[in-house]
Amino acid sequence: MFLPLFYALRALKVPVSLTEWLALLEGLSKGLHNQSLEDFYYLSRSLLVKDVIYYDAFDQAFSHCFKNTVLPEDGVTKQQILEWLQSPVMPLRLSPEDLAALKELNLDELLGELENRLREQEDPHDGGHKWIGTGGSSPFGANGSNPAGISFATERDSGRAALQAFARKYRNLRSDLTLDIRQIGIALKRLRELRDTGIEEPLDLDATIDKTCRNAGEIDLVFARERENSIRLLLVMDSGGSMDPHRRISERLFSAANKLNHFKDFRAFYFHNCIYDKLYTNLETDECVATTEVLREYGKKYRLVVVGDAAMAPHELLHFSGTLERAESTTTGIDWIRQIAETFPRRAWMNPLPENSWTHYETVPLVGGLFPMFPLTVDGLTRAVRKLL
Amino acid sequence: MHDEPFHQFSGTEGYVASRALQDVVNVALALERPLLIKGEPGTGKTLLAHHIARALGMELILWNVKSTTKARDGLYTYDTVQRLNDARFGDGTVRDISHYIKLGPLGRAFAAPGRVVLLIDEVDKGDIEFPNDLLFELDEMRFHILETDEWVKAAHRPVVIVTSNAEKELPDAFLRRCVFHYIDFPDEAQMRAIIDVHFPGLSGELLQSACTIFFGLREVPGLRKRPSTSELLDWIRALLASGARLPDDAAPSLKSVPFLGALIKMEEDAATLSRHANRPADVRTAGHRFFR
Repeated sequence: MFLPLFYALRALKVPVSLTEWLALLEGLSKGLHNQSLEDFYYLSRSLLVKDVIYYDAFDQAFSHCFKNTVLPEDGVTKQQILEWLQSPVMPLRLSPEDLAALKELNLDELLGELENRLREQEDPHDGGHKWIGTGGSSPFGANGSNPAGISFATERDSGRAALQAFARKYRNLRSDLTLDIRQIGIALKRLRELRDTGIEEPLDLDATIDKTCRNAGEIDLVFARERENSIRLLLVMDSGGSMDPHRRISERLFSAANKLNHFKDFRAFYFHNCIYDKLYTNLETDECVATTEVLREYGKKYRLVVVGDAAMAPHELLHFSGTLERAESTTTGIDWIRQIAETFPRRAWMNPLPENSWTHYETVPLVGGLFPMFPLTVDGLTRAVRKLL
Repeated sequence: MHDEPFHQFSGTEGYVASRALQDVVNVALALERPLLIKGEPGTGKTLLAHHIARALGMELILWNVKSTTKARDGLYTYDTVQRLNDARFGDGTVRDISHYIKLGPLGRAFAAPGRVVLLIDEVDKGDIEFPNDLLFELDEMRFHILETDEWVKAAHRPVVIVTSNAEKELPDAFLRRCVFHYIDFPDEAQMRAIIDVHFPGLSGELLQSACTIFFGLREVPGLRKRPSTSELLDWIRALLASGARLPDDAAPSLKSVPFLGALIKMEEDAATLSRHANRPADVRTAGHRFFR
């Protein structure tokens, strides 16, 4: 009789399976719901939902089924909208005249219109000038060019990406994302180099028997040593605007490496678009360290993994004044990358762009000449790990 | 069929359990499934097992998981070295292998004559495959001792409490068998109830300003480790023992708060509190140092 709850949960992408459902039925048959809705709520939540990130979705589904409310409008709808908006479509560029020609609506009118369109629209829609979607000049959506629109994207990228100082995104890649992190974690686990360390602990049975026999039966114990992974990993991640479509996958890689209690040491830094003289440690507070110091401190001992699309305007890589903040600098981006490549003998560059599109960007082969480059997939990661060992 | 009442656990005089937590514990007891508890550090995950054991009058067996812990350690260990030594000196019991089998925490929980509470603490500290290795034993509540060819079987299914700090993802197969609960951080009203349990008759004034400072500290952005319930209790204990006074003003500056070290444990966090952003960080401690 509670099957709608099950399907509502599945519709909201909560991973519930028959096992959990049968457990709930078992609980119900034992009367654990205690004839009260509140107890039933806790009973079903504890049995059906196994992670706190799904608590919200569970609440939505539960109230949908038992409080006779409509399925949470701002929950599902917003999620739907965000999903449409996540698909990367290049922003539409409009001339100033076109911009002026676009109707400037006031907020109330906009919200009214948005409601109408939400009612009518059923699919994602990219480009064009009416529906909610990415690109385009409709007043609703992400990365669009309507000057008076409502944006669903958390930050607005106006397409002026070359001067990164305008479009920096201060967002830590720290995350509690869960999907597929295990998979990445298992791939990263192969990155290890075992060394004998510490005191002699476990008994080496074969060696003991061997030695005892040689001793003519007089027992001689041989102990083996504990082994420990001696790999240190340095992760440097691009968080520039062009990485937005790939943010989720980069976050997952970070989470996996961070949660894997496996390396001798693990450090992470960020950069914007291209590596210059500073690396950021915290994107929210803009904390940074000088790149030269990072090289001096971590070079040689650490394995370096860079995550970035390496796709940028050529002058960002090749000219001194690639970004506003770097106007006074005399070292170009490619020089920095070369310097880093020379400092880290074991290095890999993970690129979230599909491998067959790398040659479409002028800068990717340039960087690829200095770094062994792999696609950011589980397979690419496995190849990179092999290269790093 | 179970004729025991559903409400077996409702907190103890030393532990304030929310309605949700009570229900979940009772569900786990009735269904005889492991209870997986997650939550911020210091919200009383480990303490819960102690108090369940106390409330139900059962023995508590503790298994603290470390990064080197293997699933087998929980079942039994075979003390070869002792046996070899005994063999060397011709001790009489050396032929009896069972003499050298030592049961681990899980093994002792199974072999116990009555129903016990087994706490598997910080399961996520173990290897990524650690929980999977326990699936069979937790499902069937029995395991095989290879050396003596014996089965250890639980006469009464132990109450299994598993805590996790969400450092690692737990495998799906493991999760499917658990009852799950996330302990929310207590709100101010709950926090007062908790403080009241530990310090009955605390003056209202001290309680008020301690809560204000505590929840204010938790709001500070960029703290790596926000102070938790257990730290608040320690801090109040220190305040009471020393008789120190808290500043009276509504928004006290942190410098005037006594024993701040009881609340803020990390050097970086102490620095965060006094630092303004944009200064270059120290390269040796930067880059999110996480382990070792």
